[in-house]
Amino acid sequence: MRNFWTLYTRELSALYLTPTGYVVMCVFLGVLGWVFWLLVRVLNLPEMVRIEQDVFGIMFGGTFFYWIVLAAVASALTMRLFAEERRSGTIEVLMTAPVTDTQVVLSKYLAALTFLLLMWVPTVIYVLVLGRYATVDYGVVFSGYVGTVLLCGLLTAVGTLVSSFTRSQFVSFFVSFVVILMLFSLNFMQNIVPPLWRKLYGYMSILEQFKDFSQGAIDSRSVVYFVSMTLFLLFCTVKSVESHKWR
Amino acid sequence: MVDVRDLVKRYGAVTAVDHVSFTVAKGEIVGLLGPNGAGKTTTMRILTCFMPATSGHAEVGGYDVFTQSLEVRRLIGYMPEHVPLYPEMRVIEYLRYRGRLKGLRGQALDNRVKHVIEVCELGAVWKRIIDQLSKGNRQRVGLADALISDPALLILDEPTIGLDPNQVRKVRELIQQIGKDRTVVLSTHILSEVEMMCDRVIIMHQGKIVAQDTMDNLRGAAQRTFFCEVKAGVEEVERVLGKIDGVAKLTVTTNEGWTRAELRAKEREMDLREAIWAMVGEKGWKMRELSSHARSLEDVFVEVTAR
Repeated sequence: MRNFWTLYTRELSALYLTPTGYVVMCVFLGVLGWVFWLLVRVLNLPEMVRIEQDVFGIMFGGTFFYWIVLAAVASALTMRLFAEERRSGTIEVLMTAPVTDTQVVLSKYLAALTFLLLMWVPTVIYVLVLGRYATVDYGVVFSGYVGTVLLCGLLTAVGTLVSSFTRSQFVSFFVSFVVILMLFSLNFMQNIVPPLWRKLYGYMSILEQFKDFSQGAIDSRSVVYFVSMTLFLLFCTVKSVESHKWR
Repeated sequence: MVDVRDLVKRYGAVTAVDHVSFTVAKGEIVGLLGPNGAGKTTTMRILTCFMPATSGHAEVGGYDVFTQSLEVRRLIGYMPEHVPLYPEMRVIEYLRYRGRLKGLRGQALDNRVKHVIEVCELGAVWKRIIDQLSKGNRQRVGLADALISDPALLILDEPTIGLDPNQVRKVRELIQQIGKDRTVVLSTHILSEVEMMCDRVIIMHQGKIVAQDTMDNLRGAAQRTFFCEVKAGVEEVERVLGKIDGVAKLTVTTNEGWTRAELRAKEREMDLREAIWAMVGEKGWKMRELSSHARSLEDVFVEVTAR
């Protein structure tokens, strides 16, 4: 546990000490702020009055930006986790210290996740601002944030796993970005696969599972989906790190 | 301290370490010597639990490197080749991080960090960011990291590679000093380094151990070589000097109009110079050189690795 804490603080400080973290944060907050502004403006147009949906209902998962930005940001924050250690050789000093593979994987994963989640903190300002001038459905805001936390957890796990396969940050970024897009696309795929598979694709689809969160509902099935997928990916990462010793 | 038996490591079709066995006693400084690609780094990586062996058995301090990996890792301080470090950290941050990772906390951590900074002469740079350090200082940080937990066994892979002569000398002195109270296994392909620092040497070549002994024995095991240069025909010199008792090997060449003979004695302690002198005097040849050479470790090295 103490080892975990030592590793975790180092990983987190590495994100705050390198430019990557700040670039990612700027892009993320810039895009999200712009989307928020856009939504408020568009929903205020007279012809949009018929739309019943809440601003935050659309902001969490309702726009294409939300998904693309999260996919990019999660890939960028996780790309260096293992790839950089492998490239620079520090993996050798790390793995010959008295630490377990699980400690290493969990500390790296949670550090990246912490950074990603902390980036969401400033978005609370949007809620406060909008709450001053309009009625906000705080249920939707809450479930939206819960869904986002779970989603970030899953995407970070994808990035962590991919990073453990390669020594190139560049490769890690693009592969995890594409893998995440593939996970998103399962939703559309279910329309073209045989009926037998349709249900599985639907169940595996992140978009499908996220729908409830953006409508103000927290469905335990979706929570189980996100948590179990995340744990499975982390388990694979531990195995991947172990397997490098055998090559 | 270290007990390696029949160790084999294969990477696909390549056998990097081929049935290697050796032991290192407590307090010894042992050099793994060999050309590049001899299997030194692989052997060290197996000892430090970075990778498992394909077959064979390796123990450190009584613990098996495969089944008791964490216990082994607590016993060792390891400095890999090229000293990988986190460039964005400060020296002091890095050492404190590594110390904590190896189980040090509180006052004990402070004391050890202070101690290794002093021993490795990092006093002037402890606040600096690692990225901005010179090669020599990076090497010192790596050594300080290896030493921080006061390990019983120090494993150093090419500790002086890429340093300038002054830095090499300093690092060597440092290792010698550190080695006074602990076991050290270091690898190198520089012969003089082993001659200066190590009690014992293990020469590896193409994954195999080709020689292992104390420095004195290794040098001594080689017979002495005698040279003489005379004015006489090659065949005649060959015939005459060949008659001397105790000559194991005789090679005759010509050199600037003189005839040069290289003689190896059958036994280590045997001195052939008197016999050669007498022989040459008897024949009335002019002589311009008569000398004796103890073989250097380099000769031994070239001989065993050239096979």
